[in-house]
Amino acid sequence: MLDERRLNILVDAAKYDVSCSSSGSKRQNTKNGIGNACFGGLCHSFTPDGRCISLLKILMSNDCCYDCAYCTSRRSNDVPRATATPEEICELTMGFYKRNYIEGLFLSSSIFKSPNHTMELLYETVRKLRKEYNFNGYIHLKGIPNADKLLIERTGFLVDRMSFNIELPSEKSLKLLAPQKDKNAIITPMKMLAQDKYFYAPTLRRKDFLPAGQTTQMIVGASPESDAHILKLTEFMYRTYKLKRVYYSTYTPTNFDTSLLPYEQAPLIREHRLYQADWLLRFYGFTADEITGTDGFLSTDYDPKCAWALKNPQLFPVEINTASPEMLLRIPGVGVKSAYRIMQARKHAKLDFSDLKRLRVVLKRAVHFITCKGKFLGGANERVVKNLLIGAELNQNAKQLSIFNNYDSAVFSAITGEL
Amino acid sequence: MKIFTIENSIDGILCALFVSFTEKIVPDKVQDFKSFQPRIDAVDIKITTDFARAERVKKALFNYGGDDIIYLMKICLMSCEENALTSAFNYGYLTLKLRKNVADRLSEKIVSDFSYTVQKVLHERHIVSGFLRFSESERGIMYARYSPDNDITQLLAPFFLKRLGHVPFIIHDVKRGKISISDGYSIKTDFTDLAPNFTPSANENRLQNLWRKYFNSVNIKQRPHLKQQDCYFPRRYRKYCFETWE
Repeated sequence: MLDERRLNILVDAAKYDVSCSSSGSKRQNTKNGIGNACFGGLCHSFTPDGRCISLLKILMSNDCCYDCAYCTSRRSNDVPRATATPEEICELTMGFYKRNYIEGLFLSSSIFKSPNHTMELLYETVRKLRKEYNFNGYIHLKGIPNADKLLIERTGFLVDRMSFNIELPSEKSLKLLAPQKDKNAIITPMKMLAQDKYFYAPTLRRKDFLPAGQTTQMIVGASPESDAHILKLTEFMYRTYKLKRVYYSTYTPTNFDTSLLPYEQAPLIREHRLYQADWLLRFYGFTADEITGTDGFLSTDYDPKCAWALKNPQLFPVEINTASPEMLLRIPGVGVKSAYRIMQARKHAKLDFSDLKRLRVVLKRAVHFITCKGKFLGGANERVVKNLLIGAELNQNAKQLSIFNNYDSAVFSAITGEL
Repeated sequence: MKIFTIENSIDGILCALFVSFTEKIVPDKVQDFKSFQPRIDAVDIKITTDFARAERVKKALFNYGGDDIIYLMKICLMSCEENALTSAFNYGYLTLKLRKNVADRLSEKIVSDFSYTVQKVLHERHIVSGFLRFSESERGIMYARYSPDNDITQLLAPFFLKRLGHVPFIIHDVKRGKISISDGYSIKTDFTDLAPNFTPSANENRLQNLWRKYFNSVNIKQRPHLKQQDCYFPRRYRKYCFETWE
């Protein structure tokens, strides 16, 4: 079985892959098998960085022959290297799964020797898990660009989800920071998998080929592209390749040897706002053009839905008892669940603000954009509403100050006498 | 004030509904007779469980409230909330009174309270099915201890029976002394004061250490977010999640 040192190296290199979801698959357990998939996904633990652990996220190898500037496993980086065998990964997955530590496996790899060799190792691992260990839990496999088409296709029949990382939002940045990767090597397999999923549907049961679809990931803040550019690309990929999700990863500096990359970590709020905007694209019927501001970036003060509502005051306030479902979804503070509950409840009675509270609508935001039975309880004018919304956002992030928080500055202040 | 004291079970609730409709008494509260303390300002009416009566009410509820109404009422009874019995009773009463499915009437306090209680129990079942930690005994039996807020052992066991295939397991609710045992084919749930005699397998320590190592390695130290961790993974659930122990 894998030893602690190699596990540490391989997990440490895999942790920047943000995808951790185990949702979208209804795979059932078989007669002599172990495991099944939970359609809504399941979290097994949460790390101090606030992210969930659902899958065993591990690299097959971090011994990479590529030299991508943003990556910790790049060839020119002096870090310890390790490689696991398919057998070791299978044993560890089964051991963890039986003890309910994980929901399945998220397997990725650096380019070890060649793309085809790496993809073969990944294929062999998932084949062993499914056929020899009879494992029916969730498997997410990171595809290797430039690997053989047939190998990728065969892997698609064994795993629940596959993803090819687009890495950077433009071809220019990709060429600059990852010279060995090219756009076509990433886009072509994505396109192929989307076509395959459609093609295999009429002949086989759809759940057999990538039941949880495919996803991708891009790094935010390592290159100068705007939020508008990122969201338009996202929208295009959702429509064209039928992706289930696009993940955004804030750039964390791991390479200080090059001037091509920023020295500071990109603000986490940007990643947060991108995810909120992404949700609006997928579930709320918004388009990328509607969400982004005139400067091409999302507002950091308000969430994208609030920012959109403030830009379109002519559409508000909306009467909650008569609004269309599409309009309900566009009210800040009303999510998909709340909109559904409102639709159900208003069939039987006219709703008031107290009813909305009972339906768990976030009234501190929604109150400025709705009327109930003609009553309006929101801010008096635009300036007041903006201030109240910023206040609501700040309160969410507020925390109790501690005298130990600014220890360094307190020492400095004590020495210099400067406050 | 009128209080119905009943047996804490679905049949108890159904019998209370029967009495309420036949005797035309609407109680203000429904309580378990085991934990009932008489009040000076209240009249308590003790209702004994009668399965024939319960069956008649069950039939009526199925007719008006749909197939899942009894299931939802059972789930409501698993709640740790003080008013769970009253909430389930009121929901059944409203269904029988209006003679229709009231699940959509979320603006009614009775329905929203009931729905909220049910959601809370189901939510806990969902998150705890991820936070449960099994250890393997030397005889290959998986054993997990936990102490949930609601009485969800009966809901959890079938989930793991499907998942673990033919692997035998034991789920032990330490707080209530309730235990679910599966031989890999069927489940039996009972109360016990005794903890099973457990000797871990040879591989157990090694895998636990690897899991601890994994938990520490996968964390990105440059972006701490303890508030989010606390929000999604409340500290009361970490009692048996050894990877979080310092």
